[in-house]
Amino acid sequence: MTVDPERVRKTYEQLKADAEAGGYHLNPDEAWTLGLIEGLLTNEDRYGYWACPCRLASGNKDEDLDIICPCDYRDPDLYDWGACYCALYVSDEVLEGKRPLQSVPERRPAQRGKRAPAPEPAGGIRLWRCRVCGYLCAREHPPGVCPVCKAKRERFEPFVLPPSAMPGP
Amino acid sequence: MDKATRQRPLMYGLSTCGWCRKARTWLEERFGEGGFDLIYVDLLPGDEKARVMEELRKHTPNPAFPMVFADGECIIGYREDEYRRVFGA
Repeated sequence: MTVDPERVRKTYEQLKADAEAGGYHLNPDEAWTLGLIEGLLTNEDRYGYWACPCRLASGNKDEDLDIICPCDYRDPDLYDWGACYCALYVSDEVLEGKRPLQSVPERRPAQRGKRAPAPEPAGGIRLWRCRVCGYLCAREHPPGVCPVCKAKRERFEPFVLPPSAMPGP
Repeated sequence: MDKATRQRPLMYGLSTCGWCRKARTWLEERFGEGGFDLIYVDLLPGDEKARVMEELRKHTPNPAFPMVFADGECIIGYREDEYRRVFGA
């Protein structure tokens, strides 16, 4: 791996600021975190996107969409294990030393089908859901970047709020 | 020769992965730099990568890295407790 250390450092500063603004935390072990960011940038140069440094990317962006950092599995892993799969992100408990950092089992399914087609609104409200953090927004098109977790537009999926979930008159 | 060194350990990893870096360091401290084999799967050419992944799927349906093989055991993920059990501290 040969990534310019200055590029790694700049990416780290930006990522850290974005994480904190969204209520997330980078791993406070700076050497660890810089190593992972170097891996992410290596994957950016290799594949054109930020494939998780701890998973084997296929090189096909559509197939790898779920493991583009921040991956679809980060938030459940933070909740269950206190860290995401590669431990780039850690929970408050781990950050505060109340919970040890341990390696995280892989929850990405071995068999991955195609994404389900967009659900029909059928009287409900059509929303966009960020697959990374669950942010919902009621617009015609998803935002370019998720305001919470900074995931890009392609990570949003259609989501229908059924009429029963809507507030009454 | 003690039980732990009967078979030369083999690690499959990813060159970009932090847990693989930790596993490599653990094995280097235990066996020395040349004391085990290391294959970075992400650096293999396409057809070789596919062949290796097919091989790894014989051991687990969902291969994850690092994967360390020794003495008929396969340890998936960075597991210091398992390394100590299989290799001795």
